[in-house]
Amino acid sequence: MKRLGLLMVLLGATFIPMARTDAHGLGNQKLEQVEAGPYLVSAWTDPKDVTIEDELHVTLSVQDQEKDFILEADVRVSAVLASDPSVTKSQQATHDNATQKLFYEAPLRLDKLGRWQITIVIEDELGQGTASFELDVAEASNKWTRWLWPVLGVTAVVIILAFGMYRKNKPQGSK
Amino acid sequence: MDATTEAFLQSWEWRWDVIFVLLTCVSIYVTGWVRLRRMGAKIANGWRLASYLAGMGFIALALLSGIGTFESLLFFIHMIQHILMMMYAAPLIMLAAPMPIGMWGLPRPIRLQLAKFLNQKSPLRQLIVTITKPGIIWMFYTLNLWMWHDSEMYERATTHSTVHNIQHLLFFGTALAIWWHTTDAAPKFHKHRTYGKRMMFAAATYFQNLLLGIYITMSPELIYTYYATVPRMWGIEAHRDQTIGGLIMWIPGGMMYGYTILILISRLMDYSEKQAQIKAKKASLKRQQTKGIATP
Repeated sequence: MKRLGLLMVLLGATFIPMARTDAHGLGNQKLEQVEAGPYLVSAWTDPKDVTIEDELHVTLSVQDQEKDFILEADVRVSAVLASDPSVTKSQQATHDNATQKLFYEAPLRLDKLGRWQITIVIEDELGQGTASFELDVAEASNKWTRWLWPVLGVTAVVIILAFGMYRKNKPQGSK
Repeated sequence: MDATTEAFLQSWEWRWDVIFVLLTCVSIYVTGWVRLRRMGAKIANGWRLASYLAGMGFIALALLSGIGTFESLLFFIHMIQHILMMMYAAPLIMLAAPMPIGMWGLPRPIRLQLAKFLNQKSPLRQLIVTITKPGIIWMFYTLNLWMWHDSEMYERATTHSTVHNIQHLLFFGTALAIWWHTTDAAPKFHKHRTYGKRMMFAAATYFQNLLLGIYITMSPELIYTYYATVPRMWGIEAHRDQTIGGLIMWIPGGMMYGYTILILISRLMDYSEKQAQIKAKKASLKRQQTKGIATP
C-alpha cells in the first residue's frame, strides 16, 4: 500500500507543472522589432500579468537593420516606478538567463504596485540604442488561483488513496 | 557554423516536469523488461527495449532541445516537434509493447489490481474497447489534428503554456491510439485486426494528414499570423516558414504511413505465401493418405 501511495503521489506531482504561467512561450510581447538606434528590438515579459510577488523575466531580441541577430551586445534593462522615480531596478540581460540563446534575458523583481517604465539600453560596435515600454504591476494574485492545479492534483491523489484504503479494509461480505 | 544555428543547438531547456515523466516511464518499462527477461519471456527482446528507448529519446529531443525552445519562433520547427512525437516516438513506443512489459515493471499489488481492472469482463475494459474502436479513434485523431491547426486555436496554444501542454498531450495520446491499431500492439482488446484492415486504417490516416499538409503548403495567405510578430531566424519569412512546415507535414509526416503500408503489404504477402504453403502441404498429405488407403 505504501508503494501504491508513493506512486500516486508521484503521478499527482505531474499536475504541478500545469500551474506554471508560461514555460516555453516567450510571454507577453511588449515591443515588436522597434527601432532602437541602429538596432531592431523585440521584448517580451513573463509572467503575462505581473504582480509584486513575481519575478519578472524580460526577454529581448536584438537585430541589426538587416535583421541579423546581434549576439555580443551589452544589454541592460532598467525599471523606474512612474509615481516615484527614485525607485529603480536594473539588471544585465544575458544569454545565460535566456532559454533561447539567440535572446537576452534579465530577471527583475518589481516589488511596488503601479506603473513602471522599463528601459532597454543596448551597446555594441554599431553604437548605442534605447527602447522602452510601460508595465503595470498588480497586487499579488489570489493564492488559491495560483495553487489551483497542485491542489486539484493532490486532492485527486487523496481521493484515490482513500478509495484504495476503503476497498482494502472493506469488511468481507459487504457489497 | 553560423551564430543562429549555434544558438539553436545550445538552447536546451531542462524541463524537470518532462524529465520526471520520461524517467518514470523508462524506469517502469526497464524494470518490467528485466523481470520478463529473467523469466525467459520472448516478449522482452533487445529490439523492443531499443524501440522504447528510441521513442522516449525522440520525445526528449522534441521537448527539451532547440526544437522545443524555438517552436515559438518558427512554424516549421513546431511542425518537426509534432512529427517527432506523433510519427516517430508514438509508433516506436507502441512497437515496444509498453502495456504488457510496463505492467511487469509495476509493484505486484498494483499489477494485480490493474489486471483485475482490465480483465475481459471488467466495465473499464468494455469502455476502453468501445471508445477506442478504429473508426472512433480515426475520427477523434482527425478532428483533434485539424482543430489545433485552426489559426485561432494554434495561436492560443502557442501563447498559453497550459493550452500548449493540453495540445501536446492530445496529439501524443491520439497518435498512440492510432499506432496501437496500426501496429497491432498489445493489449489486443479489439477483434483481430487483419493486415488489410490495418492497411486501410493507415491509408485513411495518411489521407487526412496529406490533405492538411497540402492545405497549409498551398495556402496563399499567412494562416498563422503569430509568426509574423516574432523575429525571423535564418532570414526565413513567416509565409515561407509556413510553406516549409506544410511540406514537412505533407512529405516526412506522410512517409511514415507510407512505410507502414509497405511493411504491411510485405507482411500480407509473407502471410499469403505461408498460407499457400500450408494449403499445399495439407493437399499433398491428403493425396498421400488417399493413395495409402487406395493401395494398402
